[in-house]
Amino acid sequence: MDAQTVVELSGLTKRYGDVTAVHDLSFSVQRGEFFSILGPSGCGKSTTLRTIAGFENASEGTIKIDGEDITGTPAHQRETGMVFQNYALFPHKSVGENIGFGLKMDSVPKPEREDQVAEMLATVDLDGFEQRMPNELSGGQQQRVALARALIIQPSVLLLDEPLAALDLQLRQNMRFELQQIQDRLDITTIYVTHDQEEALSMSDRILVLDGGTAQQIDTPRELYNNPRNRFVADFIGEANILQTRFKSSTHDTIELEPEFSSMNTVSLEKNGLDTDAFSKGEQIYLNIRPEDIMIRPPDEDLTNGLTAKITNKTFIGKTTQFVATVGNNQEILAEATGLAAQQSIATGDTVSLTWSRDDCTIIGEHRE
Amino acid sequence: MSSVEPRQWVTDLYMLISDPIETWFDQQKSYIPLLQLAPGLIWVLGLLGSSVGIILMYSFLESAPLSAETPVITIANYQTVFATTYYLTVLLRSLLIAVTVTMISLLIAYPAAYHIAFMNSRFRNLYLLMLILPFWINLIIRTFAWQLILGQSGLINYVLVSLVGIFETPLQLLYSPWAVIIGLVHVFMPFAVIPVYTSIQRIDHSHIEAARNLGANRLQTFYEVTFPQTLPGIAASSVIVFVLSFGSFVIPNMLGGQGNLMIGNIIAQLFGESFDWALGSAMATLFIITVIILVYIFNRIIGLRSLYGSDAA
Repeated sequence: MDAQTVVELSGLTKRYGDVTAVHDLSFSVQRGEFFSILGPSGCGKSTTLRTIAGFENASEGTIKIDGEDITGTPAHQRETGMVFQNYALFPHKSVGENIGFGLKMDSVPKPEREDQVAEMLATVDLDGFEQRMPNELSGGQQQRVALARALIIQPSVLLLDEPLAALDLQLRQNMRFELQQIQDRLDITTIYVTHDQEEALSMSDRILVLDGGTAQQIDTPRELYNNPRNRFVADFIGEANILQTRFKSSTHDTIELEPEFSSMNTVSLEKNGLDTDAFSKGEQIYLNIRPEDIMIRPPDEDLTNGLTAKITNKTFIGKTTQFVATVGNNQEILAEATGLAAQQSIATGDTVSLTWSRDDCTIIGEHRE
Repeated sequence: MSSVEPRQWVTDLYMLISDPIETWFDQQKSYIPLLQLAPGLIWVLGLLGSSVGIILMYSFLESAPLSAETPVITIANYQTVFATTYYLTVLLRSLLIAVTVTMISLLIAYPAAYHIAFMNSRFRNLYLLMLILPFWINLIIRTFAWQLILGQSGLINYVLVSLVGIFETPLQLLYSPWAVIIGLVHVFMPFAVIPVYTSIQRIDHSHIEAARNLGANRLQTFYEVTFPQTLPGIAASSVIVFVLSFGSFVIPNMLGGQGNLMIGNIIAQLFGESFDWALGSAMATLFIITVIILVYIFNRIIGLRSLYGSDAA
């Protein structure tokens, strides 16, 4: 084990009766790392977090914190600090009492407790809020109290369960920034559970994508976005065009693929050192092209890498304009264009050419590396 | 194709009639809630208010009910009550019994309600129902059952004396303050369960998890987080059980005997046996005032306001 590993899960499985919520999950989180667990609702991300906190018992597998096996340790003896989605502030206790609760349980004398609470309130920008009651605070302030309450016990790992989900958009973005700053300043190991991919991408050092209780990919945000390992990750992170193709041939530096949906075109992409020896002719390969990487060109332009398509839908969404183009047998491709020119010059019903840079097209799945 | 337009005068006539009606209703809007409250208000104010008023009036009369003679207003009835040690003793005894019953009821009801509220069972409502089920059996029958259990040759004495033989002679269980307390707890305990159960069930489970996460063991979690949040329920249960048992009549009569009468029995005797309605009214008034004062003090200490739902959390 790496000396810097704070949290280590190996083979964690959680079953409720016949339902497996988390299946054979293994990952480790390094000191100071901001680690996110991302997935749709019901994917097992909260269960995983709750198992780390000790609110659920693992059916199989082990959990280690700071190298110590805590799989069977009761929740109150674990070195974790949790921020709940609804904050779970004690309604009958003042802000100061809420934040000082962990210290009180740790038998820290009152004067010292009060000093630490004041200090922690300063950290979260709520100086002098000791006497307020939780119901007198705004959502964002409650959020900060919850964070302060979890941080004051100096946990080995901070566990955040969708802490921003209850806030409105503007506040959510501010809090995201603030949370990241506090995390950075205190250098605290953090596991963050969210279903919001934007949140995960913008804040995390690494992200675990979870679906159906099974790990799909653990990677940096950039890698997840650029090199999704499977269709689920490609679809879930950002918007994706997943094209079903068959392997045709490969040269020294390019791969030629034949789209399933249109026999007229050939798609070629940069080999990038990929070993194609394992590929057999006609083998099914999935490609991913991000909508923002697709360029819409006039139909007659001679293209080495592109598809002829018909625009079937056009939606103005503010910053960009989204186009749905249909190729061949009803294969829909999503393209996004910025600027007024695209908005005005392309109309529904137009026949166009869709093209992209070879670098922007990636193979999804087992052949990736 | 023909479209039938209503003639102008029809529309005008309609407006002429409907406008003032609508305006009237708009103006009356503030009275509508009052109208909705009226049946209940009339019932309570009319029946309860007038009867309490009559009692209050009688308590200041020399002889009641009113006779043909000119009524004489006096405070002699109250002087008699305060001068008679027996009446004050009974009032104090009733108070002590009511407080004991309240505490025992809560001690039984709280763990039961706690267990049911946190149990992970689809039979939860069934268990709750079983606690409340005794309501469906007549009070007198249930109290009579206690006579059979506690009596000289009752169940307990039969087991202790005849079956096990611990005691030579039967114990005096019936016709004691404890018999009254047992009977009252049995009857009023379900009233304590419901408010406590509701307040426990309302606790956000994540509060408990948060406390655990912050290092609190089960006991600490209970007295730091769970218990304080159930105080409103405890307060509600206390007031209900206290007021009901303070004024109870049937149970002390059947289980307490002459030596353990409560205030309700004394008032009934004054009205029914001594025909001293004036003195009975003074006693009743004093009793009502005692209850009001006690509930007021209780309210000041624990704060019944939280019962009315102003608890913003």
